Amino acid sequence: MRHEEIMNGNHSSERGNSILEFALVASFFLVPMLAGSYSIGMSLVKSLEVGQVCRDANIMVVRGVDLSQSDNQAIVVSTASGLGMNISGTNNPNPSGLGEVILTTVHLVSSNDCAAVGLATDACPNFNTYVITRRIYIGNNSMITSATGNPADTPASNGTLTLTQYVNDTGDQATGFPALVTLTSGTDAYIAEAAFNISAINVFSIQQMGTIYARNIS
Amino acid sequence: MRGIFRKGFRAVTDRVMKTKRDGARRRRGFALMYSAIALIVLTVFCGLAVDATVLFLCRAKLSAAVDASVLAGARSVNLADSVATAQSQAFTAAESFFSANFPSGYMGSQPFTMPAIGSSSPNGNSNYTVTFNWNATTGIITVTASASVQAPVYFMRILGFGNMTVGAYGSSQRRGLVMMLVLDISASMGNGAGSSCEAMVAAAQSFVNSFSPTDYIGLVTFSYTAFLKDAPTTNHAQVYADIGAITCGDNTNTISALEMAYKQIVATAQPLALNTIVLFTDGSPNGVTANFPARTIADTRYGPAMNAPDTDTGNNGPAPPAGDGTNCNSDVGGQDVNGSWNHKPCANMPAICTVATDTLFGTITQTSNQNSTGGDTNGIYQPANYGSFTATDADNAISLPNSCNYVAPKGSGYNSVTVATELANVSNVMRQYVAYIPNVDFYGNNLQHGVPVTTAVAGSEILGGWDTRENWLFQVVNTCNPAGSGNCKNTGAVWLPTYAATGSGSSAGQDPYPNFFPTGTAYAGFLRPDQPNSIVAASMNGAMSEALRIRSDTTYNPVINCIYLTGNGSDSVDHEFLPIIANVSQITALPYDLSYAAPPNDPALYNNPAYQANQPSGKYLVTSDKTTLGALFAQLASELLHLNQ
Repeated sequence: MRHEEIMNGNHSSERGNSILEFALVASFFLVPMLAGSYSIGMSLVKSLEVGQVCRDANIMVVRGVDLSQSDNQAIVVSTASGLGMNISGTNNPNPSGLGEVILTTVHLVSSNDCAAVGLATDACPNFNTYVITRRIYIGNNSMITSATGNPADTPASNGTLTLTQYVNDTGDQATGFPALVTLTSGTDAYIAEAAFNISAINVFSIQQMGTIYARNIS
Repeated sequence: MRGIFRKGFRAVTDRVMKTKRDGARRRRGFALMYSAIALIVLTVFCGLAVDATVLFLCRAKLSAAVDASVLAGARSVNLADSVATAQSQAFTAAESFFSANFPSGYMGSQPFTMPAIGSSSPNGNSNYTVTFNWNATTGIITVTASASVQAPVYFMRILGFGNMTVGAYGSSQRRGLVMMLVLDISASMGNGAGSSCEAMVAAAQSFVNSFSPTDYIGLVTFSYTAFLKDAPTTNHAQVYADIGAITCGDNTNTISALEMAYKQIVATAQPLALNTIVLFTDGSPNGVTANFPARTIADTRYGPAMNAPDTDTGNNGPAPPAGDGTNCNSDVGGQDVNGSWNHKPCANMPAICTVATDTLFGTITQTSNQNSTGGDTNGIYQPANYGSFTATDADNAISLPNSCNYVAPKGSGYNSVTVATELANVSNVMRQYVAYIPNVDFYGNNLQHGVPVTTAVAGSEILGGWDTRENWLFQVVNTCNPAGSGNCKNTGAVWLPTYAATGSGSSAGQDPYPNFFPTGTAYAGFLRPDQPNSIVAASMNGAMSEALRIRSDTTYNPVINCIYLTGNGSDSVDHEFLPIIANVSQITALPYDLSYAAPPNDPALYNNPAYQANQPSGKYLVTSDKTTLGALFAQLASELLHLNQ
């Protein structure tokens, strides 16, 4: 017996050393690294998906698709497959889901707009100002606040504000419209914003993958 | 021997044990060492993944920015007044929107130094170029852009890689636009300062300025007939000027105007373009162009009679209706509630023409209000330009058969010496020449029934599978909404015995729906030419049919958009007529509807009973306030520009 023990090198004092060392290394390095790699990779995928959802939604708006219609909203939701924006088993947007798309039409108020509501330009509160003329929310509209600003007036069911509203009400101004874009008087810009909660990909509670935001302006 | 063997064995054992102990000692920390080596490798791969992430994100962002920029560039060309300006605006907009969508230095990338507007020369390590092309044959504008950016790498730098270049390319095509602007210049639009006509002119001029210099815009105006002011042209200044020269007056021949606009779209021959008609009107149509059968049988119809002796030449017209004498030549019964003079029905009115197969070609119109008691009707007018037929060709202005063309069929005070001039000058006598309104007009439209019903809708006039105005009686239902507001308008209703006192239905022995000659008469079952109401009914049926026929063109796929100004003059309001013309799926209730909901409430909607799902839908915009016409036209421009990207 003694000889066999010696020959096998089976010293009880060394048993589990490798496992212990591996556990130490894995705990401090490998697992965090793998978890981080997983999170970064998944967040990359999610970022690309969110960006694509935002881009597709805005292209649809620019091309004239009315995204206030439920059937058209379903198309947007279908492009966000796997992001938790839909009601399970459908392509209907989930008002308490994990995603939100905000669509905004910004208009530079022209003298013609003012005249249409019977105002001279010097008495026209929003003349030559960027205003929000349409706002549509798809999905969970409590996720983020639009960077473009929110209109003071309540849009109609199709998302539009009336001419009288956006010409007169300074609360409808698009305060967050990016300075890089300069519109010609009377023209529109279309902004799509998308926000999705991706906290589900966090492996550890200390990870901070929260909400991914994307914006597209055309 | 045994001792020697035992010593030897011990020595071997000791060596083995020593070797094992040494080996175990050496193996201690191997896992740590292996893990460290693996970590280095894993770190390198993770680093590569991070770098790849940055590259992917840059590329995705760049691609989205390029797409947004070309879309903005293609949209921006609308406000230019020349192709060169359009190109410049496309470049400016494209670069502006690119910068807004791809922030300089995004994810640590090399900042862009944007090239000079329109330059394709690379400028710096991160490049953006945009191009513009207009195909004059197809009318299609193509804006393309390409961009490349030097994205940073962090871990790959260890392996000797520097910044990596990622690129994106985008292209956007803007369809050409062929748009016929069809403007109602009827009398109800008024004239002068503050009139609806003036408001329409200002709104339409602004509307024309909303489009690209590469878009083709034409202009048709219409009153008793249609006038081609501009064939589709890129000379928008001319269209603008022609709109400015508009004065309003006369009738509303919507059918001919739509037909003329459609013919111009076909003549422009741009099937790839967005072909659209924009119809503005303030009321019901009231003109019909057809080959009207000559009246050869005496019957009972409204005067004036053609029976008075000709005081100029001494010739006599047909014998006067027995017992009526000159009363058939006079307005009788005073004015109706709408201010129209009525004529007495003349029993056994003698026929003028002699050949039953003869026809009179031209246009007849309602003249007085849309009443049903023999108010004035006009014709026969020269019809709109059509094919080789031109309204300026006097010889072809109207077509009258010889069998009707005898001298001096005049009434008191009528001094014309030919039928043609008499019809032109004293056109109320038209209805003594024309037997009836045929069921099909000159263009092939159904004047009798209108258009097929696709969806049964309660409250719509549906008869025998048709959405029709054939039994419609205008100006009988005054609807005020809200009640007592005084905001009232006639909305019409199906002609029922309830309304007998209103019109022809009061005559004993007539059918319940007196838009038609009654049973037992010579022209029973045909629409009457001798009362304004019937001509309006035929015109509305024909206009809906005309629109249905235009939209069925699968080569040019014309889209008809309508702007409706309600409330002018004494014109009644029809809730469905223009929505059916535009082919909208749902109709917005008007202020005169009981279901109307004033803003900010959501508008009440109901289904279009004649909606054609396989035909293009246009926009239907309506207002009762002429001061908002500019905004409605601007809204329509915005919609067209959406579709026109």
